[in-house]
Amino acid sequence: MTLENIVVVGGSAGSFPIMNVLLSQIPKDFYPPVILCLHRLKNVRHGFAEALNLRTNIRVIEPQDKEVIKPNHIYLAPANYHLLIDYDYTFAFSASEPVRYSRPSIDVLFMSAAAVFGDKVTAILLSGANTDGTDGMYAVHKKGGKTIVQDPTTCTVETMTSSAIKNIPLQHILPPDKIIPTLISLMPKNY
Amino acid sequence: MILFEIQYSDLQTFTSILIHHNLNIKGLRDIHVFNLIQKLLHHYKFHNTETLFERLNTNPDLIQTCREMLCMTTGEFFRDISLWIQLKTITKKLSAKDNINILFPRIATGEELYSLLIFLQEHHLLEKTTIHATEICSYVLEQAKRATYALKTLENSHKIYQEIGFSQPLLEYFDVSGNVATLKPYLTANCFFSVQSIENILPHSTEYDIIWYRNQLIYWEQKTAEKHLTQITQNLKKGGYLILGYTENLDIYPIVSNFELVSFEDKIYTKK
Repeated sequence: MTLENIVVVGGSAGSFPIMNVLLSQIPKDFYPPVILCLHRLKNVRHGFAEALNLRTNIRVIEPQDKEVIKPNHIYLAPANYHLLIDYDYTFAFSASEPVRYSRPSIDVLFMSAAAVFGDKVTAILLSGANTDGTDGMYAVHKKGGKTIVQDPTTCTVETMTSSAIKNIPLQHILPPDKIIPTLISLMPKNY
Repeated sequence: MILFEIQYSDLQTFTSILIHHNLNIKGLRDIHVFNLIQKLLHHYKFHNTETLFERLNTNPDLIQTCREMLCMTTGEFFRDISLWIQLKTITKKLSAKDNINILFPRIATGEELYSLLIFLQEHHLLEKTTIHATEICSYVLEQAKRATYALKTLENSHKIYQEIGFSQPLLEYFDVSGNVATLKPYLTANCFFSVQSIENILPHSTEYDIIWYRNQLIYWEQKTAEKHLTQITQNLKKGGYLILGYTENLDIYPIVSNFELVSFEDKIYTKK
C-alpha cells in the first residue's frame, strides 16, 4: 500500500464536538491516514479515543512508537507526548517541552508532516483557545500543502483559528458541515 | 514567523559534523535530527543551515548547546499516575531483597528520578537502594543534581501525588526557600551521578534490579534502540524490571523474548 496523501487535524477548546461530527462524516473507505492532535488533559490516558469512536466509521487508535502509518486509519496523539511523523512514514514521539503550553502540540505534528509529506499534506485547524497550530499551518502552506480552517464565527473559542487566518493566506475557511466534503473533494480520485 | 528550509540531505551533513566533534548522534531518528536543527536555527537566529554548519565547525559552544538540547526531555514529578500505582505491586518483591540496585540513565532535569526516590522512601526501600543516575552532558547533570525546582512546579504536581496515595505531603521531602524548593539531601545519599556517552548507557558492569529507561527509545532508530536494549538485558538481573514509557513497545524488538510483561499499560517488563 502506498502512502501519498496525509491529513492532519488539530483542535483545542471547543473542538471535541466538532471533531465528533467530522469523524462521523469521513467515509469508511477514506484512504489517506488521518492524524488527530487534540489538546487534552495530560494525566487522563483513557476515554478520549473511546469517546471519538462513538460516531466514527473508521476506528480511532492511539499509535505506539515506530508504528507504521497505514492508509484508511485514524490516529490520535496520546496524552502528554508530542506526536511526530518520521521520514520512514512511521510515528515518532517526543517528551520535550510543551509548545505553546501544549503537549501534544499541533505545531509539532503539522511541521513534521510538512517536512516529510510536503505538498501531500492537508491540514485542518479547528476551534481552540491558544495559538498552537499557526506555525504548523504556515509550514504546510509553505510546502504547498492544503489548508482548511474552521470558520471562527462557528468556533466555541476562536483564538486558534483567528490566529491562523491572520497570519497565513489560507485556502479554505469553512463551517463544520463543509469541512469533510471539501476534504474529500481535495483528494485525488479514488483517494 | 520564520520557517527554515531544511533539506533531508542536511540531516546527514549535520550528523556528520556532530560526530566529527565527538557528539555521536548516529541512530537518532531523522525527525528528531530535523527538530534539533530547527531549534538551533531559532536559538542562534541563523537564516539557513549553511550558516549553522559553518558555525558548528568553528565554534565549540554550538556543539555544547546541541549536547544540552539533546537532554531536554522535560521531566515532571510523578508523570503517569498509573505507572506509580502499578509500581506498588512490585514493592513487595523488592522488600524481600537485602539491597536494590537501580540504573537510571538520562535523568534530564531530574524530576522523574526524584519522584522515584520519594516513592522508594514512602515504601521504606530507599535505605537499601543504590541508584546510578547518568546524563550525557555534565552541565545538565550538575543542574539536575541541585534538585531545585520552582515551588509552583511542586504545587502543580501535588494533586497527582495525592492521587497515587502517599503518606506524607510532597513538600515534606523538600526544603522550601522563597519560591523554590530543594530536595532534602538524605534522599540522594545513595545516589551516584555520572556522565555517560550517548552510545554506552551503562556506567558500570553492575547487575541491576531495575533499569529505568522511560521515554528514551522513542528518540532512536530501531537498530540503535536495539543496541541499547541489548546492553540493558545483559545488565539486568534475572527477575529484574525494565521500565519504559507508555508509548514505547518492546514487542517490536527481537529482545522481547527475554522479557515477560508485567503491565502493558505502563510498559513494565521483567527479565526471564
